[in-house]
Amino acid sequence: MVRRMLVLAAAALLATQAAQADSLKVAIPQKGNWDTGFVDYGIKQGFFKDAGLDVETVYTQGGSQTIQEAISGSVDIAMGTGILGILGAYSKGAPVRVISAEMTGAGDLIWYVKADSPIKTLKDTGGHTVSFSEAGSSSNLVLLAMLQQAGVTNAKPVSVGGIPNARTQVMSGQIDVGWSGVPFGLTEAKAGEIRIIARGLDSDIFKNETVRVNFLNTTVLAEKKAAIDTFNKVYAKTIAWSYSDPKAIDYFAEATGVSHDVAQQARDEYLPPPSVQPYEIKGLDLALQQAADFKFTAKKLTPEDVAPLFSDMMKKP
Amino acid sequence: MAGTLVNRQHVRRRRLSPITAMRGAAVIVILALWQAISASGLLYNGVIPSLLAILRALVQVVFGSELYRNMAVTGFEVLGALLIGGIAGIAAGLALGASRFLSRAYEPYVHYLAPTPKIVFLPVLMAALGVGPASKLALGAISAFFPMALSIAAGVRQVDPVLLRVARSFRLSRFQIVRMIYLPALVRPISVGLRLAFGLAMVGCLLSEIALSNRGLGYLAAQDYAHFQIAHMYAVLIVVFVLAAAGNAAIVWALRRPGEA
Amino acid sequence: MATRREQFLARLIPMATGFATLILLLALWQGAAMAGYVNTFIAPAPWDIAQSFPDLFADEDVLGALAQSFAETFGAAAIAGAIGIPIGWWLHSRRLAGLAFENWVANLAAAPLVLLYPLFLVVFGRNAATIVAMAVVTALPPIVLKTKEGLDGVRRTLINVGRSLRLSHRQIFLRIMLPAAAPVIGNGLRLGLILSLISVVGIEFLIHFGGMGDLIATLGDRFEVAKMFAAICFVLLTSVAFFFIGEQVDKWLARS
Repeated sequence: MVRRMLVLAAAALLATQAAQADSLKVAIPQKGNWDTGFVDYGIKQGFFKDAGLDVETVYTQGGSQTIQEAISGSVDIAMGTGILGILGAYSKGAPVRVISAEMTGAGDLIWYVKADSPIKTLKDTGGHTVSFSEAGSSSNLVLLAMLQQAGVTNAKPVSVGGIPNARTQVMSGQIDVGWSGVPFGLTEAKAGEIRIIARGLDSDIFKNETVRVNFLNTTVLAEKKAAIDTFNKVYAKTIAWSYSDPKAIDYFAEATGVSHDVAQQARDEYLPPPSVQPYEIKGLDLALQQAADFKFTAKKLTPEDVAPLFSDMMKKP
Repeated sequence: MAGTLVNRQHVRRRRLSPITAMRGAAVIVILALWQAISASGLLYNGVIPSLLAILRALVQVVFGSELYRNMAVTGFEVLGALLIGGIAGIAAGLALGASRFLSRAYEPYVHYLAPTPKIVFLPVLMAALGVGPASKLALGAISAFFPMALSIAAGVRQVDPVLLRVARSFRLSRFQIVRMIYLPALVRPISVGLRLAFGLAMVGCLLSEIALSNRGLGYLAAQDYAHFQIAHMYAVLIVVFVLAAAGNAAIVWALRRPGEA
Repeated sequence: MATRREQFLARLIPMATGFATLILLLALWQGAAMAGYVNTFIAPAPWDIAQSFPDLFADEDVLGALAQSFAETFGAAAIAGAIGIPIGWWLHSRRLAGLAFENWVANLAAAPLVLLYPLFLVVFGRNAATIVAMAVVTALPPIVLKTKEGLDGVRRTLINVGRSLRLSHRQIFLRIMLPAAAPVIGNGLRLGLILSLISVVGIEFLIHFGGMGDLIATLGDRFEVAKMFAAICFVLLTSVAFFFIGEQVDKWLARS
């Protein structure tokens, strides 16, 4: 009798576990941005739940914090991490694999000045302080490329940290040119408080370079392959949905605290679908050069050296 | 007897009133200064919003639901950190203060580790304990341990040696000496150490919520700053300061001597 | 009366015990890393950290970063001392002020001042003054509270002796109260210095503005974890020297 009850209990437990959804913990930097918002939209729309996935999100400040969390296994997937950081981690033997591209090109970046500034375009920034976030970040790389493109050799690039820091310092007059990621800055530009003088969209070099990727560690990939594949499918589906359903703009506006019009402008003008395509790592050679220049890697690696890093990328259907 | 009771109440009322007046005056001066700076345009008023904007945001925060579930998370982390870090700190402080051997052997290391910015150990703690409240609590506990241990160790060494000699001459056991001599003498260092430990535990927990979390007051404030909702951020910080004040008041009240107000 | 040899051994044996404990813990950590119980991408083995010291000095401007952090730390602690000791004395000597504001000072210690970074940035500008200012506010509470505690704790007997010898208030303060309170005030200054260093390196770490904190964060961003831990150890080792000096000053104050 007791044995029969134990068997029944074990069977019930197994059945319960089988019926439970697979769970994934996902780290997201910069909560609210368009490209980092797709997982939240997928959760809100029930796409992950319908596919049998229970996704929990945690938010980071980005950078090495996210990489370490993924490597340690504290999170299953890390979204929107700079490709240079991942190349650096991989070159040092970290057990990481990229599963999708997250942002290609620099369409989300803008540079701006106070409305009364004499600076009209990037060409006028010679001798002036121009901000970016951190050394080796996409804002740093894009800025340097755009200054070169504009023929400006004596601007003073300065690291200021995040978007709010840049805004505080520009509006206080401590630096001349601030950086931002849309939609932040568009409301103020519309209101005439600031003037946008450069857009990452206009960078020739970065048009076709993947700057951020989504990745995980190899242990998670081995243990949760099926769940990861499902996650990738739903992620791609959510991206497609976000460009076809107006509700995505509502979510974007709510997450960022901007108006519906500004959110719409940010997506339509600055973040076209190719910028968030997840299937292909573009401009890898340039990224490898930059990784060496900024000491993320000890020397310039070749695409063959890093081929295993990208061997588990999601495939275009 | 009744006259004495009335006198004590009267004295207490008289004692309270000037304190309240002094605090009130200080608050008024600070608020007036803030409003003047905000209105003057001397500094960027995106970062120094008007008192009215902050008050509106405070009402939104206090009457919204978001605050309370995040407050519960941070509260759990801080209390747990204080309990674990505080008890460990008192035990370590007693051992270091009472034993010259242990003090010479290990207290330098407590000093050396104390100035480490504990935030750099967050990745290690998260690897061990996950990204939930446990790792934040652990960071808070580690932060709280050091000021507690150092304060208690210093306090133990300041216990009057005459009292210890009297205790020994009465053949009190070690436990009795700790209970009847050390602990009463250590109330003030424990109070000061606990208040510093509480502060560091709170800052440690909040900083780790800023670094990686999806809940907690630190996370809430960081999201507000990231979206440049500065008035809302200040409103959350006001709540944090009020909680800190309440926590401190609770510690002072819990450790007050009998007869103290 | 202990002989000099006995006194020497009384110092040496505890020191050796502490050192042996440290070596044992490091050996356990090394063993755990080698056996795979510790993820070395998160917590590198001690031997790997030790080996990365030469690269740290060769590839990074460690001494420059250290000089910046320590200048900010000691500057902040000195300013906090200059402001905090008079405030502590005021809270002691004006009973009403003490009752009204002591709790406020204690509450400041729990304030997450790093969240007020934009406010400090706007007031002080994008320079070391912002970090120093934030560190001053962080270091103030223990200095103020310990000064008040020290002065409050001076035995009435000593003050009464001073009064009976007809010393003035100033003489009682300078010759009796301050020396009696010096060990506790010294403890407060030491705590203030500790909080100042934690604050400076922590803020540099979070906002990437030069110094050892920025170096530690940058090494982390570049995923050079062994070097990052080496940089943290370097901050520890150099602060050992300064705190050793602080202890000698403490002992001198207690003796004099």
